[in-house]
Amino acid sequence: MRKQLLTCRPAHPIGVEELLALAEREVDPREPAALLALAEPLYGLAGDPALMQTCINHSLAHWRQGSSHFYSSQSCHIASRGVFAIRINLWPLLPADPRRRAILADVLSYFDYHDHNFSFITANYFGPGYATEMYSYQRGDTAVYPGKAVDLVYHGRHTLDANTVLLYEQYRDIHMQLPPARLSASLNLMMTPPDAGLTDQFYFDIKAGRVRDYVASASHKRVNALGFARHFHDGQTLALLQEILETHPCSRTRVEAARVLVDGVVGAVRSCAMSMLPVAWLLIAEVRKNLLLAVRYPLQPLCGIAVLLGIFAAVALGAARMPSLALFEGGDNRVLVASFVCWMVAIGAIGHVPGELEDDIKAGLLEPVFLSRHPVGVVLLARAMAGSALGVLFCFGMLAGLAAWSGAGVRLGWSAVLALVLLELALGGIGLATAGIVILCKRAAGFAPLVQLGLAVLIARGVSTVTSDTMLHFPIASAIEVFGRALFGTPLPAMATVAATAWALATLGASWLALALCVRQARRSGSLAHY
Amino acid sequence: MAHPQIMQWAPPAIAGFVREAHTALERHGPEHIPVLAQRFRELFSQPAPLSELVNACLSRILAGAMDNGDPAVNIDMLLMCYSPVMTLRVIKDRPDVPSFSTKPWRAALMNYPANTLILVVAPRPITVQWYCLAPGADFDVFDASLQICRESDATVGNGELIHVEARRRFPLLPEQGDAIYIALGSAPVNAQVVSFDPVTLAPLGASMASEDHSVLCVMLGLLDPRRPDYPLAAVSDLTAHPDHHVRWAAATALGKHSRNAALHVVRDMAAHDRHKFLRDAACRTLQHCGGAR
Repeated sequence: MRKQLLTCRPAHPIGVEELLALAEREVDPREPAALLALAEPLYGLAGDPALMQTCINHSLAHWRQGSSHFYSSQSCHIASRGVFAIRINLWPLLPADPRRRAILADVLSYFDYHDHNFSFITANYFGPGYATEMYSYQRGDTAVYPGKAVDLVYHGRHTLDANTVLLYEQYRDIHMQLPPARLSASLNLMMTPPDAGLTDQFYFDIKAGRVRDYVASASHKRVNALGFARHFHDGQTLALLQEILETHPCSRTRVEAARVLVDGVVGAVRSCAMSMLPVAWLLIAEVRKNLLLAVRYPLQPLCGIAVLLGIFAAVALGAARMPSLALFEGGDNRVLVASFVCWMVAIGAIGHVPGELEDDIKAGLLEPVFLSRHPVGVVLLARAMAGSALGVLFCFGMLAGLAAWSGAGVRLGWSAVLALVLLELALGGIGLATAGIVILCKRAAGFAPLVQLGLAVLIARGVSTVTSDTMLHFPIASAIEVFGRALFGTPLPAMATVAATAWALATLGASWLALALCVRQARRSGSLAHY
Repeated sequence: MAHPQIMQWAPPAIAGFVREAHTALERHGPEHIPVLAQRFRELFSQPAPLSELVNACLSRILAGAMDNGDPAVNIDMLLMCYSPVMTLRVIKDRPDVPSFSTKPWRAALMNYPANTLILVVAPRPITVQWYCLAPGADFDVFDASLQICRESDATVGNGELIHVEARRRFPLLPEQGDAIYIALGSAPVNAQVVSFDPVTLAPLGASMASEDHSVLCVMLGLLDPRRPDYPLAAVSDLTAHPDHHVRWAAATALGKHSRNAALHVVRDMAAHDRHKFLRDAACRTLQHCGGAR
């Protein structure tokens, strides 16, 4: 802040246009301090009482046309040229009532420390003038943002009285105005650099020595407007945000574009997750039901676990004691293990749902399936996945233990898990179709072992340490092939995974359709009349 | 003829609606707002026009057209139309839109001075608290008779409309950051925005409903009565302005310039002005002048 005291008005004060022309001629926009050279002409212009009256006369005469020099109750734009503008600011009194005082002080920005992203000199136009507390800081080349600590230098309290002209430099001077004793006005000559719209003004917390917030400048409004894209967007919105992120000259605008983009992606994931949440709860409920049944009727699961342990023990002992024993494919016991895991998935995914459904039909307890808020297919698929999930997890754990103990060369990475999920989806689809047959024909769960037998042959033929591209051309076989490749570390190109995924989804879709057709037929025949 | 500031870059569907609604409100006045409800809802309950609006906004940011400000863009608000007869705004992320709700820093309820349709775009229903005038009270007169009371709560879902009849009641919208409000407002039907204490519901203060009218009052107050170029015709013209604050400010300004001209106006106001506040003030002024004489 710089201050110039003047006591005598020029004998021949210059007019508005002359002052603007002089400013354009004399002031280098890169040197804001040079504005102070125009303190005397501005002081002379401030002595012209006709200046504001002319603006008021024009505005009152043209109020119907909406043409007014006053762009708010506080500010009157006189004229502008290039980067320079002249305006009058009013500084009203504050009411005595504390609540009304607080409201008006906020509207008029009294008591709020702020800097500017433009420079100006100001002279008293009428009234006693406002008082101001002055500080300065160095913005430099570093980024400034709310919360950032700044080194403040105090420059004292000054009053914009009738003999004073003050210079406020952009990005340097910080001040706050105090309400004057009577209505006052100031006359400003402002120099707004061309890039002002790309820079920010800030409020400051002087006690804490920190930047407090952004002033609602053009830049702040532009950045804020990006937030509308969080609420309303389409494909073009994302492309535009991406382009703003990559090219906009204002760093804050770029950051905000990135933030909106990330929020958009996170929001999409969240909404997708939220839409999946009920299905996840259904799956959890099915797993819980299976666990409760296992706890209540433990004999059957214990027998199952004993069989699994026995088979794994046999495989493990066979691998350890008789390495030359050719159980499967030239003596490679890994193939037996892999086949066994595939078989467990098949039993769970295909056999569990039709068997349980037939029990429900016999007991007349189909309400959980047909009166659920989820589609029938979703309920049954959840049952299929829950039915085989525990068995698969158990087998996977045993497989890992076996691999670690015997040193068998199997790879239990994410690709193996993905392959198992694909296998589960494809076989779960078969389970759905089988369930459809059970719904239509009632006592038809015996159909499932037939399907399982066929799959056993397919698994025995398909699981191999030697890759076969032919397997990728068929449903289910493709998932078995990918599982084998993932497990044995043979080449697994992306196309193989894509083919297995496509076949799994196609199998699931076809089976879903078959289930829907069976349910529809069952409804037509009247056997689902209660549901 | 009102002069609207219409967002020049609004998508054609929105610009067409703005022109249509503006013409209708100019012709039929604030009571016409409910007639526009169906068309308003049909347009803005579709996601496409709003996405197009945002894309137009982003394109302008990209092109640098907003680098030095845009009158249509304010903090948390896109002003699609701002004129003496109509406003159309998209408001995001804030419950403290002027006159819509409480302002935390003001700790006050504020009445909405214009008849308004507010379309709610929200992922979950919002609860609107309605406040209404006590019998016999009038938002136009800020005096001891002005009392409000809590009327009711209403749940408003996504895509539903809130209809504000400003002479009777105003809504308090919830502090729910993810709700968007699209507000179509008429010309102010009350001359004042009144703030109320949220606990006692007692009136706290009032400001003019129209910023344009407020500016006119400020200018009238700043007129130098001794200047030879005193705008007598313009000031006299403003003594017939629709807003009673402006009429009174013009009469006061005239009184400083020409006592006789002002007395003529004040006598006429005392006898015929349509606003009770002005008739009373004019009578008091005449009594005072008579006493002084």
